[in-house]
Amino acid sequence: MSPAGQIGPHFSQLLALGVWLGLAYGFLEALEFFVLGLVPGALAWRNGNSAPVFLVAPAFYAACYLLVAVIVALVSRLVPRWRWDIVLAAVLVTLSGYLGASLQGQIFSPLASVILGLGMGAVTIRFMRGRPNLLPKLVRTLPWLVTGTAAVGLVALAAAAARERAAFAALPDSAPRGPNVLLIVLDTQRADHLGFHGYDRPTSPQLDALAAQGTMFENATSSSSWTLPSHASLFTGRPVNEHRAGEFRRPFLGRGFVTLAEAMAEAGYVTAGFSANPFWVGRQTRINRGFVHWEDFYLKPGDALVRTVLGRKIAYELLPKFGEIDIPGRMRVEDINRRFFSWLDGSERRPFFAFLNYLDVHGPYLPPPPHAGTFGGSLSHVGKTIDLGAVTDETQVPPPELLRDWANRYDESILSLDAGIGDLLTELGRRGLEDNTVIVLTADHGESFGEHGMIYHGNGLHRDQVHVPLVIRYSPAVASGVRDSTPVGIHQIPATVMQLAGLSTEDFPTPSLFSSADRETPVLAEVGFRSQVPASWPTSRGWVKSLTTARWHFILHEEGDRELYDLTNDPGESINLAARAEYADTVQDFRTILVRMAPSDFQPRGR
Amino acid sequence: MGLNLLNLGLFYVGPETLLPLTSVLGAIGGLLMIFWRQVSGAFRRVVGLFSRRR
Repeated sequence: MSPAGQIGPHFSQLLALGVWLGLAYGFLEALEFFVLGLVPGALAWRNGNSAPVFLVAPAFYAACYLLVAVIVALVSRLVPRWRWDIVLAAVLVTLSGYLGASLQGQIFSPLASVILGLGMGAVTIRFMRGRPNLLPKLVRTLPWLVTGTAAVGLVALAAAAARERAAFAALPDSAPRGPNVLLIVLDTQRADHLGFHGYDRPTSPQLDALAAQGTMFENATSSSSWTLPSHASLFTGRPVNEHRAGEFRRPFLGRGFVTLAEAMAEAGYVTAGFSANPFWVGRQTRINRGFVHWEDFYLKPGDALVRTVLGRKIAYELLPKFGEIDIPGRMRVEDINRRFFSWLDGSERRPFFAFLNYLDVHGPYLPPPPHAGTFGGSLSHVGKTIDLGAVTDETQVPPPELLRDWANRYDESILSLDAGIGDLLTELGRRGLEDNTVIVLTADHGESFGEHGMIYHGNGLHRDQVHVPLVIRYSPAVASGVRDSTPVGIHQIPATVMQLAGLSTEDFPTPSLFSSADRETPVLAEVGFRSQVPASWPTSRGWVKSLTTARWHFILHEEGDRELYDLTNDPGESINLAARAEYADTVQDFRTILVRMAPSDFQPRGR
Repeated sequence: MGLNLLNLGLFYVGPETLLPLTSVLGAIGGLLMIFWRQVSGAFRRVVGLFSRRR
């Protein structure tokens, strides 16, 4: 009840109203995330979420709306006779309507979301005008709302934990006799910037040592030039044209093929994944199928912030103006290592299959100390945005000096990642896991620094974007110090892992990396059309497919353009031989093979 | 050889094809909520006009 003589609401009532609306909207937004998360592909690449949203969203919005309520309450003292509760509710409901409508950006355009929000605000005004006693009633229900949202949040967390326990309980009773398997993906790591691939900078002393301890495949190709399709091939052993993950209408891995994690779990392995890439290696892409334990979101406060719509707008649109230009809550190599060993400490003693995705070298290229500046990298050119490598049709390749700076900082990031991988291997050895753990180290794609007029990745299939490192260490079953120059693909990894673990490879028809048969088959890579890239970039005109052999790299474009490079004499792919008459038969042969390997009716569409 | 209509892009109903329609509907819904009294008042007047003529 307002004090005598005061028509408007009491100060504390306004604060309570702010919290009430924040809790209510936070819960509704969490519910929206949950429902959309049930539909494959309904949540966009930055919209992945998990159970903690039911606690985080209500708490976050309650705090934000309380802040707005404090401001309104302070202003209300200047004009006490207004119905400030209506003003506050209209503002917050309008904001909520806009945020809720814009969560799934493919349902309502930004303008439609604004109009919907304003409409909800207008309805709120009319509703509250005729109900002067509504505010005290709402305030009285606040304790129940707090209790209810907290209870729902705790139930969501408990349900997630129960699901994991059930998945663990569903593993076969008898533990497998094979070795542990550690699959390490260095996201965005191009091969030729590593010491063991001949790079002239000392970017990777630890990885060089690892390569010397195992078998290193010098000519490994990723299945695509961006994360989701490559990881899907890495897990299913299938080319992109079969699993089709990453197509324009299909930003997820479908259920058509068995994943490596599923096969390992079925064999009794406890499976766990730790992803530093919340965009395309998060659960919204269904890439976690088969993993008993999976960590992707809410691992740092910055990531928790971007799991709400308002938080994401703050983190990506406001905070960069104040210098916060790194991926919010980016998991660095030491964070992934810590999470992995923490899980290992608490897991049952049975062989594990663990997948670690490291995002340290992905843009924005921001190497942490003490490695920042080692190769001359500088932040003097860095803008006031978070540069994730997103492009538009107006994106321009920066001038050479800036590209050099990007490459410098990329290399410094590799050095930082390398040190962390060294720590990981040291800790494995300290725990006595070195001898009975298969280590597979690779990357999902490379990165361009102006080569062929491109930057970032996912824009073409030249070697800078698809030539990746691939090392396997498991002594003595896998020979040490071997450099194998056979052209191989990362889609061969599932069969290889199953073979090394002594398990059937029938779910993965692509030959193992150690198979003696079929070592002459060209390696296929594919990438789809992208609607908003510069017109000069290959993917702007349609899909691109390529074949790599020991000597050749053949690239076919949807509109018919062809490229042929002699990798032996021209590893930088500077001279396209496709138009020369003496190579006409070679081009035709490759085209025939490509049509056979990637069916002609397949028309991959990119992001 | 069978004609795959889905490959031709015909009859496809997906997010990118629905966005314009849902946005227009959403915007109309929002405008209706904002101007509900005016819209409902005009509606009543029109209905009243017709009922008087009878």
